[in-house]
Amino acid sequence: MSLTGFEGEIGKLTAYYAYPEATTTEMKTVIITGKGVSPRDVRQDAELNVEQTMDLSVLSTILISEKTAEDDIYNYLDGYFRDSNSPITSKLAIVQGDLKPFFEVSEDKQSTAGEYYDRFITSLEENSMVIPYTLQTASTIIFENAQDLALPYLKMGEEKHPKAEGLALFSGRSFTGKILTIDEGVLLNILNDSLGFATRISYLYEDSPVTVRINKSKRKLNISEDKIEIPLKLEFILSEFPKDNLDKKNKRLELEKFLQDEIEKDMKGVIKKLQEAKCDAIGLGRHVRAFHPRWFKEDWNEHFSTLDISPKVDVEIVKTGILE
Amino acid sequence: MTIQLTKVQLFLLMFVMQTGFVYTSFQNMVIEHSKRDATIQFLVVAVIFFMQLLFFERMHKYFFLNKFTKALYLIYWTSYIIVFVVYITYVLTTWVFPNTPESVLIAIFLSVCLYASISRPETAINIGVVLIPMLLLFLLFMFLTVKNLSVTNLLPFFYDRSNTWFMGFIFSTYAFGGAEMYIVLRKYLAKSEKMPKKALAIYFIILTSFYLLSITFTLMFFSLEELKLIPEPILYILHSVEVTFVKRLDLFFVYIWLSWSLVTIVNYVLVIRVVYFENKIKYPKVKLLIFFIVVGGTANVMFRFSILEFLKQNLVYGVIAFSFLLPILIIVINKLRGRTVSDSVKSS
Repeated sequence: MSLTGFEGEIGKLTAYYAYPEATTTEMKTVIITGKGVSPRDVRQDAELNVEQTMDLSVLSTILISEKTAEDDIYNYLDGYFRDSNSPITSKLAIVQGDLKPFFEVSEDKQSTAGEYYDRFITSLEENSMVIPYTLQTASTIIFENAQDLALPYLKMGEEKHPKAEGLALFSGRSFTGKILTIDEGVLLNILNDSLGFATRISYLYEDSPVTVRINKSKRKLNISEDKIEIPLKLEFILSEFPKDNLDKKNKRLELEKFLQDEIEKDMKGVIKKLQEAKCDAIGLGRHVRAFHPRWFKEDWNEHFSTLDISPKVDVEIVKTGILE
Repeated sequence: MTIQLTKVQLFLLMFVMQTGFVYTSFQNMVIEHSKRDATIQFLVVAVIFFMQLLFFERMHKYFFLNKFTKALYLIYWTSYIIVFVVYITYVLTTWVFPNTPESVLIAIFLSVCLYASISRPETAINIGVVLIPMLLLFLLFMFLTVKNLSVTNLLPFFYDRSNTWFMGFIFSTYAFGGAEMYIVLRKYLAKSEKMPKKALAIYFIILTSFYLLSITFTLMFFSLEELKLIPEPILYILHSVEVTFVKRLDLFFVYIWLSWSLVTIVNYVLVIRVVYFENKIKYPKVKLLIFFIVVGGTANVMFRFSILEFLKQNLVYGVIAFSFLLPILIIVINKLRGRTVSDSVKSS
């Protein structure tokens, strides 16, 4: 089994499992369903439909329906941590709506279903659109009261193709129902200092597109009792700018100022959304607890939502590609 | 049975005996009580251990075992081995061989130990060398998890003290269990060998760094609440390492730890042989066979999660008594009486 997923709730749970079946000419994905009261129970039920014992040792991805994730998510994952055969490096994602179509889409794929979603999520991570989490690293955050999860949020696109919609925001162990868009996810990764291989940001500057790629990012945190300032020094490589003429200093400074203001404004929007969701996905609580423990509150999610958090972005374009 | 050790052999034996039993698990018990102060508490206990090593080196001529203390140590070391056999079997059945009966695992495990123990003493003394590359590999793969470590987990110090905070010091002593081996084996050091303080300091730094690394990695990798559920944090950290060439890298490390454990038991048995077979005895191989049958039989009977938990929580008091307090008491009494090792040799 390379892919599994849950929908429903403890007591009335449905799980789907996808496994590859190879014939002499092709490989197809077989989907089986189980129903039961708990994740282990549904697996047992699913085993009634296959000719052999299900093996989750090559599990690549776990999908959880958004309604299910509104419950304590650990209830659905405990069995995976407890079993030494279960890989704890699998990817996790929250899906919008029914789970089954996400499994059906992999039926005609040449790779295994789990690998498909694994590559899909890894690509989002490499582009800094989602925070890189595995089952294990997510579990650490689930048990951590000074940081919250933000997992990839997938929806079924119009052409029956899974689409990354953004990041599902958790408060404590439960999905809040609030999400960040993919663009906001990129900014969250900058704030979180968890950049992937390529981080690109695009804006319209004087009706002309401008896309920059982050070359280097340096984050600091200035923490006081009820205010946190996040100074960010971002070095950009220009990826796209048809207006050109950046060799002129004043033009470059103008563009840098534009990017700085736009990014700062959008980051404030991201922080506002995080505070509304009571989701400290940036992990500010960890820094407050470590370096200013007297200002750390045990109910950190609540306290986080009342803090005055302001990003201060300093932008510099350091490269312009092979064009001026 | 008499042996002659070089400085390096002595420290190698010490290192294996001081790490083999608890390296993958004691962090959990320390951090459960001391929380983020675990590193500080561990270092305090480490300094005490170093001072004790210096004390042992200075006073080693006053340390010898009479029949009563020999019997006490025999019971202690045998119990220590039994608890460890129960523990390693438990770990093997949960991590690698869930369907193999524990009695079979114990029998295979102890057969190898018996074979190594009835061989020439040099085998048991030098067998630890094979572990060195394995341990380096162990460390190398632990470092692959660096990107998942959170430095902020190490702080703040002295802030979140629980009622059982002091127990962190107690459980830290697990890391230095086997310290008595230094003074027990010191008299077997070759006459030509000198033991400068620098050598003791180097050994202390290597051992302390090795353990400190495991505690800091555990603290940085897991959240405190999560750690309460993880009895073998080091194995779990390695379980989370993903490489392209093998799916379950952790199995490889469980086997390394298994070899490490085998060597540790063989070394403990070597010390038992040295202490109890000091004068030539009849049928040493049969006696060793009986010893391993007793160990295996008892471990088999005690193989219960609840018993193991009880032992893990309480064996540490045996460590404090036999590794730290009893050797000091023996030295003090002999010093007061003015009796030295050479006196005891003459009288025997």
